[in-house]
Amino acid sequence: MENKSIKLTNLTKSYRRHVAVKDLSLEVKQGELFGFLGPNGAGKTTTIKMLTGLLEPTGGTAEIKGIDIWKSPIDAKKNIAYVPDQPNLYPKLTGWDYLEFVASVFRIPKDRFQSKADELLQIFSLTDQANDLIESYSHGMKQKIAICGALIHEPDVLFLDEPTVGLDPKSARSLKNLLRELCDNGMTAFLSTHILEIAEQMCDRVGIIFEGDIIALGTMDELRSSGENADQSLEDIFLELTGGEDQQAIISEISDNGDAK
Amino acid sequence: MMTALLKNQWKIFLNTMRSQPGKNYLSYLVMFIVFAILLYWLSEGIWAIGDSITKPILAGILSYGFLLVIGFIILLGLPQVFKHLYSATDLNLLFTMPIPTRYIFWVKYVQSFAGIPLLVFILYIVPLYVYGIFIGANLLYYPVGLLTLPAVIVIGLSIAYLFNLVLVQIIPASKANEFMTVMSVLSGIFVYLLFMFPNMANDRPLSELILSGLPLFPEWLPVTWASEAIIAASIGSIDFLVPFLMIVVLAAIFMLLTSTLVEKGFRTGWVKLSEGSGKRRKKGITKKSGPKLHHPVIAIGKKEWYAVKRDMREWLVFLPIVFFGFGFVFSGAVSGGMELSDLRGPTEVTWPITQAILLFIYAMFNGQIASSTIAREAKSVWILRILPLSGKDIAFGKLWISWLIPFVVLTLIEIVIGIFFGWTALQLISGIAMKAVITVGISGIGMWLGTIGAKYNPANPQNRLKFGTAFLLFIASYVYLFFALIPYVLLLIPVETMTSAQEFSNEIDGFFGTIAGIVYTVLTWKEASPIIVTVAGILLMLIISIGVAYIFTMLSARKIDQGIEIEMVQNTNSKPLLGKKSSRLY
Repeated sequence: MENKSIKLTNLTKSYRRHVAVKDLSLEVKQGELFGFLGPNGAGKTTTIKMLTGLLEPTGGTAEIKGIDIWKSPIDAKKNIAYVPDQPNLYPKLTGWDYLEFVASVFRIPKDRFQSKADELLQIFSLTDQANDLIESYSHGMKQKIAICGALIHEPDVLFLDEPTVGLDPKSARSLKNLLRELCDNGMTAFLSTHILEIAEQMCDRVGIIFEGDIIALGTMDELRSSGENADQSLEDIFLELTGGEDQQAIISEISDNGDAK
Repeated sequence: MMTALLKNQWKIFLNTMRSQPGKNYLSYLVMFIVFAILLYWLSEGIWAIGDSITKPILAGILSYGFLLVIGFIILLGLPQVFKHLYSATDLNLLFTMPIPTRYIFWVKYVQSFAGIPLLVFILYIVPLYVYGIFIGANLLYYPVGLLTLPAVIVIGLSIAYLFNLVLVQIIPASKANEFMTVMSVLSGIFVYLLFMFPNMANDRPLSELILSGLPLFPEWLPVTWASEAIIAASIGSIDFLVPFLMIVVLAAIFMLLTSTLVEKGFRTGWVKLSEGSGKRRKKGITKKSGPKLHHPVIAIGKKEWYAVKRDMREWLVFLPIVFFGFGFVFSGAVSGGMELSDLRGPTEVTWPITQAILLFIYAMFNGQIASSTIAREAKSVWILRILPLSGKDIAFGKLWISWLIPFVVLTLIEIVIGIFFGWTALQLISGIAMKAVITVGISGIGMWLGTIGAKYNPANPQNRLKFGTAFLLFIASYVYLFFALIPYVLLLIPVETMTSAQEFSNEIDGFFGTIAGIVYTVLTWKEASPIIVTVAGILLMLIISIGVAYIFTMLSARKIDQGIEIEMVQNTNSKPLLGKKSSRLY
């Protein structure tokens, strides 16, 4: 039996009459790098927040390594890490202080922390800024230190919400390589992104969410074979499924007519 | 250009009013009714005592009233001015548009009248007119009053602007976050000196001076001109003209002075402060001593400590001590050459009085510091939610640090005081130990109230509790102190002081008098059976303080587990105070 790292069963989130996430059921295997795609407001962040204990589901369950995060939050959280799209960190801690804080909470031995912290800071070119206050960091640097904080305790499951936004090309590449390597070594990554190339190149499997529903799920090959054309890129599939093609048609129409009367 | 800017502000105001939720209108109505009642009482009071207000007394009241107007506008209007000048969200847009800086400045200046100055104006003009009607003042009285008061307000507001415009040029960009704190402290000292002026200039108390109709201020002071103008106008004398013109000209000079600093103080200052938020502080090279990892409870306290230590604004909570100390030394120095050594008295008297004062201060600080640890999470709240921490870990982590900070600060002060008064080592140690135990309870209560009424205002990080909760905390801290004080007295105060306590309770009324009364009763028990009372005292003290601390910390933990709502005050231009959203901890 395959080891399931993440399991969503009929996960639902509604705000009064608006249903943001509808009966979502999904499983992500251990070591899998799962890409979660969808247009703005499709329910990606809401889903991730429900999976990380930040937002209480209206219905259904969310399990991390078999533990329901809403029934046993502490046990489930011991296995996860989260990098939000807007990393609001403690402004008055230095990058190093922040890593120490996370390591203290996860009870990491000192020597392991030291080597891991040094390694991560090196990868993300933050070694020289580690002792600066986080309030002085740029958005990209905050993002990087948040990623370092998430990886410092070597989580079993890592959730990343738009992790490459704000990262410079070198750091984005480092993150991609690191994620691939970590997943190959058994970590599970669940990442939401708008950059379809990232999902196409890196992810083992992709799920597309639209208006709170999973409308496509599978490997790149599976998604291509389910479409009209086997040579389709992820962008084509995405636009086709989320209605972007209609907008493209309108744009072409406008261009052809020369004006937008 | 000005018209367009003012029109825009007006539209923003209208849209803000229109988009308010219904409950806000209700709160406006309540505020209006409370304000109307206050004005009614004030007017009633003036009507009742109008006969006994002679002209010299009126001169004193008016001039001191004008001083209060200036003082309040500086003190309370300063943050508003800061917001208008440097943290209004529209400045980003306005400075990129082809609008002369001075136009933007004057729009902001006009905007500042809506707020504290307007409130002060109404609070002053209504009683002034009521008094005018009561004495049947000459018709001149009303327009002169109506023009003099705004002139005084302009002076106060201009001083608030000058404080901002000058200090922004002095304070380095790296201290941008602390700008508001430095300004509050300096303006606080300035206003304190302003209010102390009549006391400094005269040997007699202020109330006595006013009632005896003696001049409070020298004639060259502008507040005297304003009061002279109104008094002369009340009897229809043309003598009002010179002082009236003088105050109006002075107000114009102040406005002119403010306008000279617009370019350097406003635009460049705004740029400087905006740059300041992106400052880089090198804390030296990477630590060589190796990582310092702790138990999660300690780690939480440590990160709270860093937040406090590295932000000067967090220390503002201790500002009352500075003012208290400053006032104490200063008033001692100006009251007829009294020396500090004169305060030294028998330790049996200085020790218990100091203990009572320190406990009073602890009650003020501990709850406030503990409660603010919750709202401090603000936008970083997701970190604690994502980490495998229980509410208990978080609550105890916040408790120990919020207890320790005031304890260390006040213990240092107590040691200095103890040495000054010549207390014995036993007195010093026992006092510190007892307060250490008693104050944990206050911290526990404070934190629990923090979990039920957390509020975060990025522009005012000291303001971390909703108004009602803050009031509740104030009451709860002293009620707790009152009960916790019983075993404290049982344990520490020697039986020999029984007579002094009795005399003290007979002589003094109010809070301290009541406490002295309790002390006396307990000491009579202690005299009868000292060992039993001492043992009972220790047990009772531990039960009350540790028990209260534990219960409230566990309640906080439960609340954290259930989910805490931090009311986030939005610092936007359109909804300056009422717009808010919530951030949840669990």
